[in-house]
Amino acid sequence: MTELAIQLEGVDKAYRYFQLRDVGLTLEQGQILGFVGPNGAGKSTTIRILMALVHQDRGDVRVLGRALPREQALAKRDIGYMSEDMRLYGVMTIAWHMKFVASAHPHWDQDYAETLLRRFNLRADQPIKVLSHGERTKATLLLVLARRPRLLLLDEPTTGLDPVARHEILRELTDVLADDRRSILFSSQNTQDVEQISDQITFLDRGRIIESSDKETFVERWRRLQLDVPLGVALPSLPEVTEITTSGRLATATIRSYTDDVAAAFTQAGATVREVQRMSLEEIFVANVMSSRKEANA
Amino acid sequence: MSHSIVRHLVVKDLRLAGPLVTGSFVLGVLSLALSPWSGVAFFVGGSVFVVTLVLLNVMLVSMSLMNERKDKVRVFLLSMPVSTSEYFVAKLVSSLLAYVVPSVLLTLAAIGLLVATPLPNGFIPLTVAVSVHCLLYFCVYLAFALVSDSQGWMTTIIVFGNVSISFVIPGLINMTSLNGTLGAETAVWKADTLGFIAIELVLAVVALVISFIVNSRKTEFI
Repeated sequence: MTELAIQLEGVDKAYRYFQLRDVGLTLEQGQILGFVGPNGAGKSTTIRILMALVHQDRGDVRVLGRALPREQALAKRDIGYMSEDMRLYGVMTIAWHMKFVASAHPHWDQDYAETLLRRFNLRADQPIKVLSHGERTKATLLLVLARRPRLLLLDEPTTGLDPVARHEILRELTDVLADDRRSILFSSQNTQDVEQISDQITFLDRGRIIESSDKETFVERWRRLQLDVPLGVALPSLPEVTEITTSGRLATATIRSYTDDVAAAFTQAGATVREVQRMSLEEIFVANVMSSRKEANA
Repeated sequence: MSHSIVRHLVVKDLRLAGPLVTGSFVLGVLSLALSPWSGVAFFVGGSVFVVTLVLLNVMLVSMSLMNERKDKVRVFLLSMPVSTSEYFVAKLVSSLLAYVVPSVLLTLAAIGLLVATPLPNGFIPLTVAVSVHCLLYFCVYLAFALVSDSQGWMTTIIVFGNVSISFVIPGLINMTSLNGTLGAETAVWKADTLGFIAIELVLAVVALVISFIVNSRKTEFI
């Protein structure tokens, strides 16, 4: 049986105004998991638990087969962690940081680090404080990738970056996956980034995982139907439908698990299906979150 | 516990603190060099000596712990293969080394100066007691900085620490055992002076032990 890169079971973490509840999550080796959620959903807290920067109140956390927080130092030998709120020493140079990280990581790959320096157009003698936000992010990613980690935990790594820097970073991450033993958990509010590189997608909202599946399943399952609804026709209430909005005779139905039977049910009720549209990941995400909140408030 | 990673972190901290430690040491030596010239110079030199120890204390802890947290560099350090308790130990060791080594050297130099010059050796117990009090101040400040994220608490410790020095020095001078022996040719070590030093050293150790216990129960590290 393949060892899981990440395994969370029944993880709770309570704060005064926020609670992570019963989070269960697995990531197989060689997979990229996109972790998507609005601000305050609990993405960073979950990732911090995976780095033992925050200890869970309850539940089991295993990363690369190591129980956390007990075996955190051993686990972190093979984890590359990068977060939006991580900073380097401003007065020290990139070369100093490379030497420092190399001294603590037996798998440090100096050739790869120098390759990344060139690809990212960075100079080793540059102090961190003179770098732009994009360059700082790339320098941090360099320090993470050259450790040759088996698992990358990236918390909003592309936030605030220009499109070129985002592209460079996403390209590097994709290259990392050329080695099929490496895994990535990638959190972002930017669904385009997640859609671009992820195999698996997990939606998190208000401290709970609301849905988790592979990308193709999400895209295949969710549909938006444009309907023509004559006066006097009542649309049926179907469990697959998360939302219906109407404007005069036109109605738009958002479907969680689309099959031809759903369209047939609307037709049978007297409506005409004008168009069946695929949804973008962002639309699926928003529909999922709103539907989950509606259920929670019901 | 991985001694290797702790050593790397300690060496890194000592390198970063190098300019501050060197600068403080030079300032301390200058304050001692000033002291033998006159009565006023002795007073000024003695004051600068104490200020040097306080400056080293406050700036070292601010740079090594508080700024690291405020500037979010701690997240980077904790991404290394280090447990939070190893990180704590590394910070404790590097901070103690960076403070204790120069402060002990400066205190020994001050004693050497008193012995080697016509200045009265009766000041030796006072010099040691004040240095030990500065060490207690450092250990309490370090202990709080190791476990607390509160800027308010740290400011409070600095205020209390500085005020305590301005009470402790006159208090020591007026102690029965020191009063009247400061001008003596030889150092006079009485029980209350030694008791004061022993209590302060015990309190310093207690502060660090409490911070270790509190840290081991923490569940949030950034």
